[in-house]
Amino acid sequence: MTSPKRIGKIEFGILSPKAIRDMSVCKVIWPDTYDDDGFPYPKGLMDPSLGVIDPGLRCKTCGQKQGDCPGHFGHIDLAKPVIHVGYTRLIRKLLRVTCRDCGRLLLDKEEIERFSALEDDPYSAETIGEKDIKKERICPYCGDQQFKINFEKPTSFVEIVTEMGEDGKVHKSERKLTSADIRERLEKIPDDDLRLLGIDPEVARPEWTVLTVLPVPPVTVRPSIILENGQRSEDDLTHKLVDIIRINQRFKENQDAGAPQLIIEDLWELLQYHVTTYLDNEVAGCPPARHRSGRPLKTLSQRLKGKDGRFRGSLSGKRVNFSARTVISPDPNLSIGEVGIPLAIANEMSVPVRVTKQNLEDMRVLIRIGPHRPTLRDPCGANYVNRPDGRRIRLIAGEEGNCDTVAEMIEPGWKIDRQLRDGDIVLFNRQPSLHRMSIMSHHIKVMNGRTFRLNPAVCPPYNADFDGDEMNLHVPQTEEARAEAELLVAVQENILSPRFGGPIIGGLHDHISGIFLLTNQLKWYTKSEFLYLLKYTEMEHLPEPGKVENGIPYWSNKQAFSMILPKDVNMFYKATCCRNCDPCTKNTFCPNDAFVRIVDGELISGTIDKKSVGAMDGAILNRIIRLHGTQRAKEYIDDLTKLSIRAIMLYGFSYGINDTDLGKEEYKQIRDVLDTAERDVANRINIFEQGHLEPMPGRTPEETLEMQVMKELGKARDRTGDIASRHLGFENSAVVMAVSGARGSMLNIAQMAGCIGQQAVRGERIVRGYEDRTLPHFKRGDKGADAHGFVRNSYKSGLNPTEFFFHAIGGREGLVDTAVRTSQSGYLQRRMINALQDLKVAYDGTVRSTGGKIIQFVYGEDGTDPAKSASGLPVDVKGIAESVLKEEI
Amino acid sequence: MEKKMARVFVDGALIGKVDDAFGFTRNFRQMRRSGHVSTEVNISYKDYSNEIVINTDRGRARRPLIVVENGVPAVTPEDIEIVRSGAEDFMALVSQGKIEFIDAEEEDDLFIAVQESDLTPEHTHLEIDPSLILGIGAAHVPFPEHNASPRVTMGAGMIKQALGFAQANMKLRPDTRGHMLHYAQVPMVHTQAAELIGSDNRPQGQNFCVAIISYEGYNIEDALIFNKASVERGVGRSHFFRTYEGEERRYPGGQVDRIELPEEDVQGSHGIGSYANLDVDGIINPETVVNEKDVLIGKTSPPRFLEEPTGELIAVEKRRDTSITMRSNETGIVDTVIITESENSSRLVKVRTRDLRVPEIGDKFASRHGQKGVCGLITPQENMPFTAAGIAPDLVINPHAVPSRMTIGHMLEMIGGKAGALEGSRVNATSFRKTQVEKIFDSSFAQERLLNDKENGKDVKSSTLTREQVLRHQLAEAGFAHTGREVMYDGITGRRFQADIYMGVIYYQKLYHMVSTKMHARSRGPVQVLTRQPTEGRAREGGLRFGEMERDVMIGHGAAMALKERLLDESDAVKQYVCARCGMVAMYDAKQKMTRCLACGAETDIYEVEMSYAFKLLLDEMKSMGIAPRLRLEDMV
Repeated sequence: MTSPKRIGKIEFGILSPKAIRDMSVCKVIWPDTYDDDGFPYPKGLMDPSLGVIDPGLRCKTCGQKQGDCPGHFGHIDLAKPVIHVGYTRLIRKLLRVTCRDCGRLLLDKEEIERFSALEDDPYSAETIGEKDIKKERICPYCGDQQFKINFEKPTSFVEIVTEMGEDGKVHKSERKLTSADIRERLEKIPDDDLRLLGIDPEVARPEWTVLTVLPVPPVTVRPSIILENGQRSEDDLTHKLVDIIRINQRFKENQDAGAPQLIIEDLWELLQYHVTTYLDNEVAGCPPARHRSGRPLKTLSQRLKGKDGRFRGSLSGKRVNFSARTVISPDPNLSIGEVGIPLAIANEMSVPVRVTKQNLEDMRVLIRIGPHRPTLRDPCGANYVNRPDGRRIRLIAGEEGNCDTVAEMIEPGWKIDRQLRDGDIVLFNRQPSLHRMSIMSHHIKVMNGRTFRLNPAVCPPYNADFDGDEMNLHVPQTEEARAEAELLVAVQENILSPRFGGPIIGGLHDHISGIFLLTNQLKWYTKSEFLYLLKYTEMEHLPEPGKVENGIPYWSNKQAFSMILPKDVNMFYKATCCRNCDPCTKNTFCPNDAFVRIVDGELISGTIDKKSVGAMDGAILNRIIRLHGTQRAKEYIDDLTKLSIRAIMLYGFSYGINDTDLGKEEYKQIRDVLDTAERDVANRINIFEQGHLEPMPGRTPEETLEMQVMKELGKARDRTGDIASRHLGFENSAVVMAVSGARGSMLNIAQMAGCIGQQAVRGERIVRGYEDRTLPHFKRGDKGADAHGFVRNSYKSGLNPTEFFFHAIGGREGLVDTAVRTSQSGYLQRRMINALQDLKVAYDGTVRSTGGKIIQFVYGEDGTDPAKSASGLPVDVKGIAESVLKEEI
Repeated sequence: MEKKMARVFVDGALIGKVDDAFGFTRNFRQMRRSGHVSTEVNISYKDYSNEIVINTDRGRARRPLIVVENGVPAVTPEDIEIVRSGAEDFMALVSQGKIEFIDAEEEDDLFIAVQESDLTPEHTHLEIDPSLILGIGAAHVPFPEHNASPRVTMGAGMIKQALGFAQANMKLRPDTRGHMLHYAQVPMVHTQAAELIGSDNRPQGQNFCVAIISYEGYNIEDALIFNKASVERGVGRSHFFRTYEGEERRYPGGQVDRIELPEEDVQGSHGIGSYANLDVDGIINPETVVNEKDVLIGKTSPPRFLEEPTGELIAVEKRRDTSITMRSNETGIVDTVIITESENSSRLVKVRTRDLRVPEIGDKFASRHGQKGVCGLITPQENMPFTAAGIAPDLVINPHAVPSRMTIGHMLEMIGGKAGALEGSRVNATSFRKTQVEKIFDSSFAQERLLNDKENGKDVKSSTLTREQVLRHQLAEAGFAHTGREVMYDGITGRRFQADIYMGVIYYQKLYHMVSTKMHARSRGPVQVLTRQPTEGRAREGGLRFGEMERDVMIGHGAAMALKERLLDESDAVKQYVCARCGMVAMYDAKQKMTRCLACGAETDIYEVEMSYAFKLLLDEMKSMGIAPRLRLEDMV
């Protein structure tokens, strides 16, 4: 027995007429498929020897059933040769570079010499191109005068013959080359000359590009579908083949009957058309063949091309077994490495388990339970049993089921399809899969309900939210795949993003607001409060109380947070809520409590917010991964999310209409600011209209005015925001969210309470609409703020109709931009991946393409894995210094 | 300089010139208003090209505007009273020249006032109502002028996906599919446009009592928390109807389908047990509980030809089972059975099933402000936060959903609904209604009370109040905090929240997207004939696509075996015989029990190679095109 084989490489050639005839099992001459009784015509397009597509029938050629029979080719003998559209360019080249009489390359020995390889360098050989040969020259071998060959799309060739007439003048005449003529010429080209042209005559003789025999694909390539009413609907390819055979037969009959040349030529052309569209129905200069309904036929070339073609649609990506999809919803009580899956899905899905002597009894238990698992409390069973001979036994639960009998049958070597149960590993994916964190492996937890449940902290890498998103799940079936899932694809292995070398998983919204409320300033808790905060974390001992007052022990908020930190973390940095005061108080008391100091795992001062725990920031998490690895990091995130949720539950966090309230004084100030701004704008317009405006360098006065107005109104909006934020403090939940980085920004607050500001289209004030004005509600030529999209109101005070209209214009531009951007960047990424996908780091450390060409001598030219780097740098100097010195550097 | 004569175009054709273009257009409009020219003709003078454009053709978009002369609208309060009384209709005002329909071209000539108070002598027209700039969807959004515009767009889009009480004759309708919301309510906070469209007669949502609070982390990222008691009381409950049909089709040759209890030996029988639900006539009875793939109508069809001759005996051809079954993944109760006659006068049976859809985790709900989310938790009322009065909300949403989206309209609707509920009056939230704030309440009683308050100088002092202020005032009057916030307690610990929680009544819609129609899992199942890859779509038990991008991700992870498993073993892996001599796909001849290569005639040196069936198909397709792809084999190890 020889060793099993796999495909090492593929060599491409052209099928010769002989090869086509050799592999053919049937000469197809009958242009029909099935007779009235539903039997295929012998020698027709559905001849039973071409393969089987109906279940229960056997192939006439190989005797196998549908599914096993690979299908066999037939052939059609064409009445006259026709050109293969795919090779028209090659044919044109060959006709132009070879002699029309003797078929030899139109270069003499010395000229050929220039192109052939140097003795010591076989790669120096050049292939001869069309432009290397002078037009209309004389053949160096037989001395025949050459003529210009014109190619006319899609498949005809014309020779422009220049002859010296009897009167001594040069006559030009066009002579159409028939396919037969072309074939004749191509036949004459010697093998050696072909090699010079870069053609291997062994696999691709040029005359094979002119078809004399057409292969008929097996029925498996063009299966017919049986419609609901029992009628057969044939594949487009079959339709096209019917056309070809019909014309071919008529051609032959006419030819045999000696029909006039004109009719023969017409038929020839028609045959050429049908063969052309059969091969490619989108050829330029050729009307596409259509179905009766007017839909263009999907012929061979169309099957391979494009997004849903063979390559991109069925080979690079395909539909797969053991996959599930449903809506996602949050479950903060799961670990980030877990995913909750519905019982119904867990019952349908399975993992193969090999029966061994050791687990025989366990397997019997599984089989006896069978596919029936009605509630979460019930044990998991099995859906199928696979015998070593490849047969699959479906288990049926219940009285009439086969579970008990099958359970007795099994022996080592069999395989059981066990239902999923807690702890099995699956691949979890949200489309679009833009980066590698779009697929991560989770351990499952079977749950009630119909959604996939995930810890909200893993939303950022998937870019998921819970407004109706659906996600996909794949169940690896082999040990190798499961091992890869566990070691390479697991969530904790992907906390650090290869994009910027920082954590991409981390707290969001509730977590950040919660931990901010917990840690901002110094707060003291009683024992019950302290235990409430930490009840879901992995805490073993209650620490020493931070202070004792009146005999009652109190613990601080900073102590609570320190509980989830490893004991060797030393960090010093400014939090998101830092207001960038000048001068910074740093180590002494910070009024915002924005300077974080962590010494030996104890939070000494500072507020924990987005900078510390947020996704894409997560300074502490970053440090923990470096110090203790991914497993500890995972535990930290689990603890952190639970602690922060307890904190937000302790305080209660809401958002109300009064979070946009300002005082009377503020409203007056805002009104004043906006009035001043509008007056200012009016002034500038006045100056402009009087022609006194000094244009800025390189700008027209109009542009200058626009810029000044934009700047003025922008400033006004910002000032209203300042007025609003001065009034609002940490008792305002919008401010808490903005300052901690949980959600929104001060701009949002300004727009809700103060002033929405200028609406823009392409970065400019709104100018389009009517003649010299944006709306018929303004006077012509009005350059005022309100006439060009300045929204004076806030969302709270409500827009007026014209403001609303301008706001809608601005808003719509935003929506369109997002839609356009996603499609563009998607295509950009696809092209990038196609260019880079098969580069790999070789064993010598170089980055090479599949051909072995070196792309980089060291990966990334610094040899650093960005996912293991410290924000792109190979060494985390600051981190090391901090952990040694235990103070800020 | 004397102006040239203006050219006059009618429907694009030059018909002549006039001297005084302005006078001409003015006269023309005057004639239209006085009824001497059709009201459907529009005129416009283009100053820059000195042309008069008159349009009379069909297909122009036109809109009505009130004519203004000397700063006074032509439509008087008396006119409005006449129209309101029904003595005359709107078109009477048009023929009187008090309202004009203006097309896009004529609009360029006008100067339009948005509100009556803005009128100056220069204005030529007055808008009838600025809220008419909104389309049907956006007009349903309350307080749209308080929302960021993308949210109004989203809200308008989602109104179309809401389930509701769309038809009152549900019992009689054999729609292929349809939804019906139970206990549909008219929105507490509504708009005038919605009323005129008739949405109050076919409401599509319910007024929920909503609290905004981060709760146990189950409402992160737009998820929603439902009160289990509310759900049990009928919040968000709906029915789904689907009608199946079976017809006794006639075939050429006199054969017919038969609706009957299929015999045991018909071809493709579903098995004896499957027909247990059917009555003797082969049709299921109403009120039968049916599960996925259960037979609803037993039907057999005449035999199909083309069968393998089974040995010497010529088997009697059997009828085929073509019974109508429930779709996979759908369950329900048979609601109605209709036996009737089809267009081809053959017997036709329609079976309508209904399925109760109680809100569950994963169902999608949305307010009218683009705030959508799926249900993340249904928790017992005992665990919900509650107010001092013991009220627990129906729904809890997350405060983080608001600031970055700036949906103040959502916040306003909440206090609007709350104030309205306390006042016993619906609240009018039509856009751009700043004046006459007392009209914010629909009930005349509430309006009067508010006016009385005004006169008595109680807080409501002047007409400069905004609607927000009126609503907040009314809340305070009813004994609630004017902020809409309330003292609340954690239902689990009983501890009072330090922060007061914003709570109000707001209209929520159950959207068409429900988990029960989306959840899908496939282990193994049907494959496509052509590619032998899993089929597409949930209805066909299809597999999910492991597409190019997913492949890229697995390459990025370096998970080669997992990728190979997905793309080969779990999709369309096949073993094919390949001839090592010529590199073409060979075959196994079952008749002679040997391998053979048709292309080169070899009988040995043929190996079984594992490949994707789509690849084998590609090879065949290339061969069909005259390309010879020759596989060169190598040892696996």
